[in-house]
Amino acid sequence: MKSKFSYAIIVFVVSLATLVILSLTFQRRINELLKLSHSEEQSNKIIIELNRLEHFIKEAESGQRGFLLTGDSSFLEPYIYYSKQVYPATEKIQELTEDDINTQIKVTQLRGYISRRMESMHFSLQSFDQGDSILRGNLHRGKVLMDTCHMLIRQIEDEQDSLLSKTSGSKNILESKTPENFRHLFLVSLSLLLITFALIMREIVQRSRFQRDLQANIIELNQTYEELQQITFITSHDFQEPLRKIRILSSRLVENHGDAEGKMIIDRIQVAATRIQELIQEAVQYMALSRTTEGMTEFNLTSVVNEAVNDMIDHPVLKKADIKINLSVTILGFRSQLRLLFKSLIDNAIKYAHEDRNLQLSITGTVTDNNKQDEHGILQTSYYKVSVADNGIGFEQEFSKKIFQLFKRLQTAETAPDGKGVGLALAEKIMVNHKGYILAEGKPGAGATFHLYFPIRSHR
Amino acid sequence: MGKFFILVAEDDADDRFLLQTAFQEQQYGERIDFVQNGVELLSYLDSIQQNKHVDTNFPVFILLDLNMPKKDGREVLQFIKQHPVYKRIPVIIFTTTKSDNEVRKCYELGANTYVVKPTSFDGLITVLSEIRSYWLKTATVPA
Repeated sequence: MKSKFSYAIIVFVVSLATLVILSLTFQRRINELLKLSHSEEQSNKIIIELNRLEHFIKEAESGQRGFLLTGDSSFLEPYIYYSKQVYPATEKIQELTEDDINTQIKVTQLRGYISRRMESMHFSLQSFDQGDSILRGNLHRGKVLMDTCHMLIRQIEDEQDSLLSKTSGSKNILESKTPENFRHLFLVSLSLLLITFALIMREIVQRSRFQRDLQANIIELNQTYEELQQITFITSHDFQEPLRKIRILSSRLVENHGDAEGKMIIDRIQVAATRIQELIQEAVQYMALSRTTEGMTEFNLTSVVNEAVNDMIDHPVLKKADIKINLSVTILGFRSQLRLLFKSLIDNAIKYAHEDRNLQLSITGTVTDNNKQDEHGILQTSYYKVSVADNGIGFEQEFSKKIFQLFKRLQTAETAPDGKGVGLALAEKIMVNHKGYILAEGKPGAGATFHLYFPIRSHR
Repeated sequence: MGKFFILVAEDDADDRFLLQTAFQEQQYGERIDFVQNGVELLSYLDSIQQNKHVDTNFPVFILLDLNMPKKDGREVLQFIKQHPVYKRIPVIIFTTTKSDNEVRKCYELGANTYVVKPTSFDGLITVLSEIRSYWLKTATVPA
């Protein structure tokens, strides 16, 4: 049963793993894409800021130049306005390039040059009235500084551009590859899922068919069982009634009308009728074992064996017998059935006792690890084994199975007149009711031993 | 003694014959009356009840077979033991069945004795004389 569904478990695990891989990959891809987008955005921002910075410096410079050329202080207004913007712009660039050390170095350099350039502009304005030669030298220095700034800005811009093109390249690769990978994984897990579903559906269909058959069988079984119940009831009453009358009427016949021969014949009729009646009673007892209403209880096996011995103690053979009981186990079972079982076994020992010697009966128990598969193929390992051994007439080992069949006897009515062939069948059935089993061992002329195996762990 | 009588509810002709024979042989003074099923038994009791003014009385005891046609012994037993007047009549179950279940059920329904039918004529005579002497001599019953 377990192996039938192992494929379902395997497919489930594989599907689950696929899903996990799918989601992990998906997450990683998204993270990569986000990182790429972020760096793209960053580069774009840096470029825009650089352009703004350049623009601010240029505007400041043209304001300064206009004032220097004309002396008109209205040119100072844009100069003051734009030169104020320059430093915040460089700071912003510095912030934006924080995670890129190479660019950062260049930005620091750039800031140095820019601040020197701004100082030189300021100086030019201050030295406006101090002669052309100073102003010219200063302007020349300013131009050199400005060129360096432009160059640095271009460099940073180029770097960002190349970074941008690299980013968009890997982004393109990622974007084109991702859906394909997902499609493959998705198709694999989908087909796995469909296969499993089909297999499970097939299993369910098979099982429901099996269940239907089983139900039909149970109904049939119940009908048979009810018929058996009716037969049991009929045998227990209706069959016994005419037999009782044969006995009572023939006994009346003997008293009133019998001569010697008639008496003998009627006696035989009576013996036969009595025998049928006893057979019926025992068969009814046997059949009643199938529909036990008694619940299982836990009890000491020794007490049950003692009760069984006491039930039989009046028998002359048992009175002289040497009985040894050595049991130490508590059993979960049907108490009255087990009492009947031991009574049957003791009765068997009495019936087949050896004429020449007193009966020796020993009932001993041991725990055994006898491996045996029961009728369902379930391996039981631990049993409590009770051996009931006698020193009676015994039997040939080849009959050790046959003696448990109902109404099967090894002795004729002459050699063992009391035997009916029910006791051992009863014993076997009671052991089956306890999920155990019984084995017989015999030596002709030496004795018989019956081994009862009670499962210690009740099987699943 | 003449007014005492024993009522036997028994559907089986052989058993009626045997009981009758045993009674005659022992020369018991009481009358023995037979009914063949539960319905007959109850109408018999009803007719006594209606003719109360005449010099008739209820039976000293009833021998009741369990398995009878129409109304079986269990139903009749239950009816008698729940009836305000009839319930004082001793009812002796006289049957072939010897199952623990049946015995317990009958006593629960109010049977006074449960006897399994003997399998020999001698046995029958012994059982009858024991029952008779118990209910007629040993036991005190309401008048």
